[in-house]
Amino acid sequence: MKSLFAAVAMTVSVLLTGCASAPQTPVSLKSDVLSAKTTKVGVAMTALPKVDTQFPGADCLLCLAAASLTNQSLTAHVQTLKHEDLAQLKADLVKVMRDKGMDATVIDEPLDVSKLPSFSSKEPNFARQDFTSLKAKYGVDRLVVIQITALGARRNYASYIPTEDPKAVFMGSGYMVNLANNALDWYQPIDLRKSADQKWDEPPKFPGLTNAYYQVLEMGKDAVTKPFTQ
Amino acid sequence: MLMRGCMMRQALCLAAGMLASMAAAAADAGIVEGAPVPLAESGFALRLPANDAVAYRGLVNYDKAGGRAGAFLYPVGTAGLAGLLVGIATHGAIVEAGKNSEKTRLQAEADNVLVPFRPVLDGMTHRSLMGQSPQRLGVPAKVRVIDANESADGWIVESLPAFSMTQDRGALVLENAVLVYAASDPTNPRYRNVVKVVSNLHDDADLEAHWRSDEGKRLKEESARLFDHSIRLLMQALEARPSEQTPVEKTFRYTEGKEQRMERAQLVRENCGRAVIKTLRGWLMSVPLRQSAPPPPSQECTGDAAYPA
Repeated sequence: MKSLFAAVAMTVSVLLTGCASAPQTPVSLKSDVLSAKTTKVGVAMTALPKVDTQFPGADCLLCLAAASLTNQSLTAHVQTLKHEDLAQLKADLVKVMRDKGMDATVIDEPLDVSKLPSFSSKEPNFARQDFTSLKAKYGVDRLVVIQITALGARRNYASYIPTEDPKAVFMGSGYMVNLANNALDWYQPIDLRKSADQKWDEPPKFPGLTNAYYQVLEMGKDAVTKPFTQ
Repeated sequence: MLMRGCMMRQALCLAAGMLASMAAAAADAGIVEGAPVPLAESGFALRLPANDAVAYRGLVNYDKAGGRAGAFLYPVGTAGLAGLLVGIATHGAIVEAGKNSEKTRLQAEADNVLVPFRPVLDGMTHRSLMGQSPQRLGVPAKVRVIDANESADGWIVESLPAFSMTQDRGALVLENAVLVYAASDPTNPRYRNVVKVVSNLHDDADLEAHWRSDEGKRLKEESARLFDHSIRLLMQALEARPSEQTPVEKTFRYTEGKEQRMERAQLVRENCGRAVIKTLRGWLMSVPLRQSAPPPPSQECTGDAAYPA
């Protein structure tokens, strides 16, 4: 009976895994893109996420309730932290690109990637949404998208028990889409985690973790702009 | 003889570990910033710590520490809710022990950076570090060093320095837990804080030889320089009147060895490519600012003046 249950569980697991699409692997910024002076590049950002806490691994309802309760004061503090000048990141990147001689421009409105139609290709390194309609809309040949998906603090759990101290996080990706064919000219996943120096559990202001948050904000900005400075 | 050496080294390592955690413990006791005290004019007694070994550690990074997220099945059996609670408690104890053990292991690995310098560090004492500090500080009033249990008049400064070396060996970092009180009223501290100093970059091609040469002369001198700088910063902090301006926080970028670091803080002052800042914890911190190009050489910023207070 036990072996039958194990076999069924394994089959279901394999089937579910097969359904999930493989994550996009990093694509280095192509040097010909950097040197293409006649190409117009737009730089857009998706809407910034709320600064908040996450407790992955606390999956059952009771586990999540326990994790939320245990980290109540941390969550209340993290939610007061600011994005600071993160919204200016696209303007900073445009400046970096212009310093390199590129014809770059800021796309003012926040980009909602989920509203774009999906795109599939048998070839690797193509965007999963169809960005090509934005060529006419924004009058650019390529679009750099800065997509920040999580900001704040994250603490891994194994059901009811935290398996680590909370860490400041900056998660998302930066990518450049060729609007002629939807190919990725650059793709950089960003998963930055920074622990508090010394101890972290210092309510109500959590100075160690707050410091880590502002550190990770700077590191995230660097992760986006650095490929264009080299 | 060898065994005796090993035992002595273990004892020193243990003492160093205990001292290193005392900066955090001092901060835990709460930062106190009372009315100004003109230490440079009134003079003071610098009290040596009870333990004579100076703490040196390898600078550790806990960013990769911690376990993964995932579900955990608790073996409840027939014990019901009680069994579940026992299972959770046991799981918690195991995870906590694992976390502590991982931190100990990471610190032990980080401490390996100091192995070539152990013969020098094992001979470093608080007396050798702090003994000449009064002369080096060059303040007009009398400053003297007293033993841990020696009595004195006037203002007493207790200091507990703990040093770390970066993993690239390019810098030393001092965390100096300080306590200032009047000898007549030792239970009422006038000032309690941690003063942290990150040294300027040492970029010699062979940093092991750089620090070891001449019986560790550079290591001793740089440690003393950082210590003196921390005492000068303490004196300035004690003389300063509270500012009426609204503090402005920003993220400072600085170098720690060859690595770039950041700290959210308020600027106190900036000079010679260095900034004195007040951190979110309230610590005083002196850091070499990250610069795109090295500043032009200046007579005012060399030697001991490389750490202007």
